[in-house]
Amino acid sequence: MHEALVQNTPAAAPARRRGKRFEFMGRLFRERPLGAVGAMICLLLLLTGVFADVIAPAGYNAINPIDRLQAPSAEYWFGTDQIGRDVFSRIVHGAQLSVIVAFAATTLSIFISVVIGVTSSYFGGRFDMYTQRLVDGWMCFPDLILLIVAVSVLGPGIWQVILILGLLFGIAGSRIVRSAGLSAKENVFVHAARSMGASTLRILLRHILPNVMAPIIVLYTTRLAAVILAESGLSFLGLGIPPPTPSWGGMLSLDGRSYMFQAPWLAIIPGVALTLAVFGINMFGDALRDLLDPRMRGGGGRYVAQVRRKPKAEPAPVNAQPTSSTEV
Amino acid sequence: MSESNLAVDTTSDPATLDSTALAPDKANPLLRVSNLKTVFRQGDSTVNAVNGVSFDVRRGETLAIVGESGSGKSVTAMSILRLIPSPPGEITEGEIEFDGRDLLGMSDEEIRRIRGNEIAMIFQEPMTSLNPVLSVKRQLSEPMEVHRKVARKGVLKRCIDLLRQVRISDPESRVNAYPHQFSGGMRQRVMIAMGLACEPRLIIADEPTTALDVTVQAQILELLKDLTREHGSSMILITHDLGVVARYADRINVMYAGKIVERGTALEIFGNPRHPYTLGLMESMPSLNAETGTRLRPIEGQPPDLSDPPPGCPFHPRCRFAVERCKQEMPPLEQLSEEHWKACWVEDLNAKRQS
Amino acid sequence: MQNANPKANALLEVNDLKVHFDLPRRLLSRDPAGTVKAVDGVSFSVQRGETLGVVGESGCGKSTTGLAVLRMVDISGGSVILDGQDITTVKGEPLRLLRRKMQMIYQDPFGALDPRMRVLDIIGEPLLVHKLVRNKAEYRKEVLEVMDLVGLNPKMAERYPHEFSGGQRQRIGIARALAARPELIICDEPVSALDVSIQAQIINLLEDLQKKLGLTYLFIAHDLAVVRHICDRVMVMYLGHVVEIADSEELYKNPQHPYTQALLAAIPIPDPRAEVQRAVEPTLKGEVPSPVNPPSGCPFHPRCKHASEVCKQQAPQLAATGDRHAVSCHLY
Repeated sequence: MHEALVQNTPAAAPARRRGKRFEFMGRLFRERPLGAVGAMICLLLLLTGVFADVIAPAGYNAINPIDRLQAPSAEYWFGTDQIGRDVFSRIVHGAQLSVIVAFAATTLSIFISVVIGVTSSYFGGRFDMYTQRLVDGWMCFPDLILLIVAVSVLGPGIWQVILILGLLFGIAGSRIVRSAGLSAKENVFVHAARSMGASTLRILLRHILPNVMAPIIVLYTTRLAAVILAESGLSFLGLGIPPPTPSWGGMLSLDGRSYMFQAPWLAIIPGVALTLAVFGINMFGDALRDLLDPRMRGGGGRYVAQVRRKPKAEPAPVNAQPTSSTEV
Repeated sequence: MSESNLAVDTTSDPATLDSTALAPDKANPLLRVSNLKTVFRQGDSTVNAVNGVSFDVRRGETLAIVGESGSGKSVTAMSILRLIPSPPGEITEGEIEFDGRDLLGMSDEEIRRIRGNEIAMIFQEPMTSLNPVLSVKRQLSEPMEVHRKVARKGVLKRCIDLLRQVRISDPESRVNAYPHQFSGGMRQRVMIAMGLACEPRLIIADEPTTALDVTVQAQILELLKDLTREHGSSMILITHDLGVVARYADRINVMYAGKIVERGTALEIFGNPRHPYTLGLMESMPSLNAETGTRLRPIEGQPPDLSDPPPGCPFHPRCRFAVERCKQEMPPLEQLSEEHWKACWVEDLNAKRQS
Repeated sequence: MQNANPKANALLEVNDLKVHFDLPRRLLSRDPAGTVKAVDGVSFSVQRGETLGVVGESGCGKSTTGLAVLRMVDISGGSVILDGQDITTVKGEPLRLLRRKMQMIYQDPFGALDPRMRVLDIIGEPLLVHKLVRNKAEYRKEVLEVMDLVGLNPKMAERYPHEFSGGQRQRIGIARALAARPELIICDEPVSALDVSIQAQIINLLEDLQKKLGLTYLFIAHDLAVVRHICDRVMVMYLGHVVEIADSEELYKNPQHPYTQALLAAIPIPDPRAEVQRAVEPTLKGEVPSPVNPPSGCPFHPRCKHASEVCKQQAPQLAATGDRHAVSCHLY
């Protein structure tokens, strides 16, 4: 109905792009306040993870048996565990661990998803068919079984966890990327690139990939949360990162469970941390998806046309409705 | 950018007319739109899609609204039936009277009773306007069921009858088919049949043939012409195709940037265009009759940005006749003859045409 | 056969081109469910610097013909010869090199440009693909030059497509097609999606570019008025066959094939007086049949008011009826 048109002032361009980022944040806060809260939690998590060594008053394995099982106090904000380690420091270092594992595993998984999804959708035909059957086969196995098998083969450890989770989520996520790739492939400009003689690699990297970014970004955030939970679950089961590395899941299972009645904070605090992190990431991811998607289609509205009229000299019709349209 | 005295509309103000004897249909039009304004808001910007439009549709006539994208012609049509999604759109001003009834002031329930019933709309894209999972019979009967209580037995017969009216062969078996089994032209006929189901007094056809082949276009337009004549209904034909307009319209409104810039009978508009935009449109179209080797004369420039229109006449940046006044003041619609109106400060285009 | 000029100067020669698509097989059957004969025996040639118009309605195969010439679809029969070289079965690297010689302009100005790329990169892509420039400076210079050629403000090179209007986006598409300096340009409905006032701008631009750069156009369109204006010769297609081919002026003055006559009669003329005076030609009845199941003999016979027995049984051949005018019809 109305087209975007060019203004003949080149100066407008860079300002507009800068403005776009601020506009995005403004929209985030205004329209999806829960997502904004989630974003702030994510930011907190990230900063804690990055600056863990600075924030934490003690190392994650600073044993201090004298002060064991102390309840949270001014000195030990989150109390101490059964061998006197400052829980706060452990939580902070645990954040670092979560952040590292989450980002590494998620990035690996997205990489795998993109490679499989994009090539499968672009090449189509038999390649696509075989690849998808393999993916289907992989997804038949319950995640847990695969994880256990993998751990028993590879052994516990941080890199093993990253690898396993990356692979697991990567293959599953390839379907989403594939469907985005299928619709991107149909665009005329892809056809134009082919007819121009562009190589397949060029088309994939230059044309297909940037145009499936939106779902990939959303996928990334949802995977992050899933990875954190998965890693915690693994550690909880003793299959993940071995102690004394302070994984939140590990803290829950080893310390928390054993001392649940004597020192409930040992279970509650990692639990709350996990909940908050996952909640934050999910909320932000949801908000991101909402903001990226329908906006591009230009916002829907209800087909109720309440007519706002300026007051007129002659008497208005009896059933004139008051205005109720909302201004964006 | 207020329209000065657009209320000077011949049908409501007999004093401005030359002839004293008013044709009965002129004084009592089927539809009268006065100073309609519809906007779309997005973020901080407000697009004045329809910016003070007044016209009337008389009984039995085919009125064309001609314009390009951004002219506001489709939005005008949707505003009549209050189909503007709100937000982001909103009808902010104006009056629409249908057979004496105020459409804008009606409740949702009342306007729903008019849609499809007394005023029907035919859309542009026959490929997507029909529901792919419902049979033709279900879709045809929908307006009948919503608006009238037709007996069950009668519905099927009426559907077959409608299909026959729109010249679909073998209607008895076609009535149970699904949209994907029809070609584009036939789907458009089904859409027309749906529009006619309740025998509306006014049909609004929004680019009904743009998506169709030229031979099918001819068939559909002939069909619409015959049907409107048979039923005595009026039609608003919205299009950008001047050829279609020449063949099928009685009167024409030319719209640009949300305003009507020229209005008149088909003969007047084509024979004596008085607005530079109308003239520009005609000059820029390749004609089947022109000598080969002549160069087209396009309208330079781009359509205006409706969220930030230039002051004065919206066409002035592209107008080769523009004078200083055009940049500052919006010209009102000025009457040239009984039916011919224009909104332009320049008196005589012929004098400057060679420049 | 259909033009008197020596074929030696023909940039493009198409002989008995056939493009057939197999419909997907049904579940357990070995044979395909049917064949869509999109293009079924089309022959024509285009001289260097000439514009050949290809017109017809949906399903006639005009777009597929263009794609076949560009080798974007597989050719099932016949041959395509570009500048003396048979390109019908060329594959791989030689095909990529060929792509420099011929380019395409698309109908949809909004979909044809990658929304994530700057205009500079969209237009310059052919230069990179074919390695025509050595460094960034040269790249930029070439792109800006082409932008200037098509009437785009070079200062807009850093913008993104959505910041331009429809007509300007079409100019970007044209610039992109010109960047590698091709010889043949296939225009697939290049102005159909544009507003009337902008169409004229683009048509003038295409004509100017042709004169300036010595381009050859294959102009595929359904708007007969536009085609008459810009094309030197016009070819009318129906259901995968050529029914008539002639010089532009001649075709419109003296259409011989009943389908061409019906097409011309169906075009509304923007002049009410001419419309009234026009001989009332009964509008063509019926619809275009499905290309999966075309009629026997002459594909047009079910809708043709001159159809006779021979039309049902035997497909007519394209035969010359005058100097540079050929028709495929049993009437002649």
